Amino acid sequence: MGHAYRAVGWNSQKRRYDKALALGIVIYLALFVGVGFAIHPQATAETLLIRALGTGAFLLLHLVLCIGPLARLDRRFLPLLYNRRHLGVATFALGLVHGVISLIQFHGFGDMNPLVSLFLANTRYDSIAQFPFQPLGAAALAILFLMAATSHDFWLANLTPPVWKALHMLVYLAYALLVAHVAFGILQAEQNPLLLGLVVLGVVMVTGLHVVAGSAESSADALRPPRAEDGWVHVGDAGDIPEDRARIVTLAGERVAVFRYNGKLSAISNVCRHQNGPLGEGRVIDGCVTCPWHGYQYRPHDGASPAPFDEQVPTFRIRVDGDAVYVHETPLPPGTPVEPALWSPEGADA
Amino acid sequence: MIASLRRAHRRTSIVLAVALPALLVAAIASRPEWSDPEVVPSEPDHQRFTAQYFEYFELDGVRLRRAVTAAGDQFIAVQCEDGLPFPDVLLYTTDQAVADGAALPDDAVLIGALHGRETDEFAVADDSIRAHFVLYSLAHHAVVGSVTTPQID
Repeated sequence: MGHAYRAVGWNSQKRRYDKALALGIVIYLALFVGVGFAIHPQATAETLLIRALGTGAFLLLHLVLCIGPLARLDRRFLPLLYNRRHLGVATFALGLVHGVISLIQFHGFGDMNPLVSLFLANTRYDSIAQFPFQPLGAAALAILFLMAATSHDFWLANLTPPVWKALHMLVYLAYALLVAHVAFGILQAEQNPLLLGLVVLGVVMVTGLHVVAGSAESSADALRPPRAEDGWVHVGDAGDIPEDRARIVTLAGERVAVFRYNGKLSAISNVCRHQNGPLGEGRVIDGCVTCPWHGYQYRPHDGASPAPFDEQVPTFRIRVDGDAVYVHETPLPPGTPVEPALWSPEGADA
Repeated sequence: MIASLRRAHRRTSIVLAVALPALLVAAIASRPEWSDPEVVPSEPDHQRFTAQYFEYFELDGVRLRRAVTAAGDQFIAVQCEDGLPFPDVLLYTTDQAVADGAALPDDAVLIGALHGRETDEFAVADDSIRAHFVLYSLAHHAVVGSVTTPQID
């Protein structure tokens, strides 16, 4: 949470996640180089390392991009989302080493500054087959650097979540640049259909998952309860909301999470202040609504994080008529206390 | 996630779903044609060349071809049956015989870069051709093969 600056808020889960990530990267690089030498004994270590690092970064970026839609489609993928930013930083690190070694290998021994040579050695921008693919990779790396450098909660808090999120949307541009880097680079020279097949599979997976998840979200947004004249909207029946869980409804263009807990009902914004995570998909733990993405907590009756934290989300007025739950569509300022509606299954049956 | 970002995500996904496959198709369609070494004629192709002369590098399946057109233009082609056995290979011509692993002689003249299984073909002026051709691996910084220039009688 955002109480004070810490370099990384380590916990046992993050340590396990990062150990598994580091181990996976080392095994991948070792396997790639080892198998590469077995198949192509004349290949140089630099060439194999460049390819291992490049493919490793490309694979990791696919994983990073698939986690979001997978978590939207199936809650079982939520644990992967928890520490996704470390995957993103690892992607940048692999890409950076790939870029530096490539720069030395292909541009470091001429009479021109390697960084200048990178952009001027090939200027066939009018050719598809000989399109300069290296500047595409450099541009993608610059975006990944920007994202890795601002990945910390310090920047998230200072830039504000909407700006931070918009900035990190650049990952899609970076992905497109990297697909072009691969398509105009190694795929022009490498005839092995396996490589082409893997790239096509990756593109289909990433774009397909995003389109499917996006369509599901869009359909959910389209299901809006009928609007009442006085601003009170019937959002469903209390009995349909599981204990310590929420029903998510779309009111006035944004989602609201209606939680049932301890014989009470409260409505708060569905948008977590941390990374805009879906609060309504979380649970009430220790009396607080807990975001499923990173565990940020808010009290259900006033949308404020418990002390010493200071995050707040908008709240909504709520009332119950028998079993029917009504929420007023006008959001109250973040942190505004609202009297919870009282409800019990026995009362509703009576 | 807020509604405006959800919409932006969805639009971006749709743009990528259309643009990336199109980009891949364009890139694959524009790939250079790869000749099949099995069907490369060992005899002169009289439709294009009046004469062709071959020499083999001391490397598995790597062959140098000197060909002359009816107009007298000369081409030097390098064909590899199983891909280049070394990375980042450049073709030079030189007056000196060079042993494998040696450095490039000072008088070596660059003909061009090889790209793999493609038959790399270079138009050359007759007076630029020296007594030997040399394959130089930029990655290894060493000569990896040499051959005597096929002579035209």
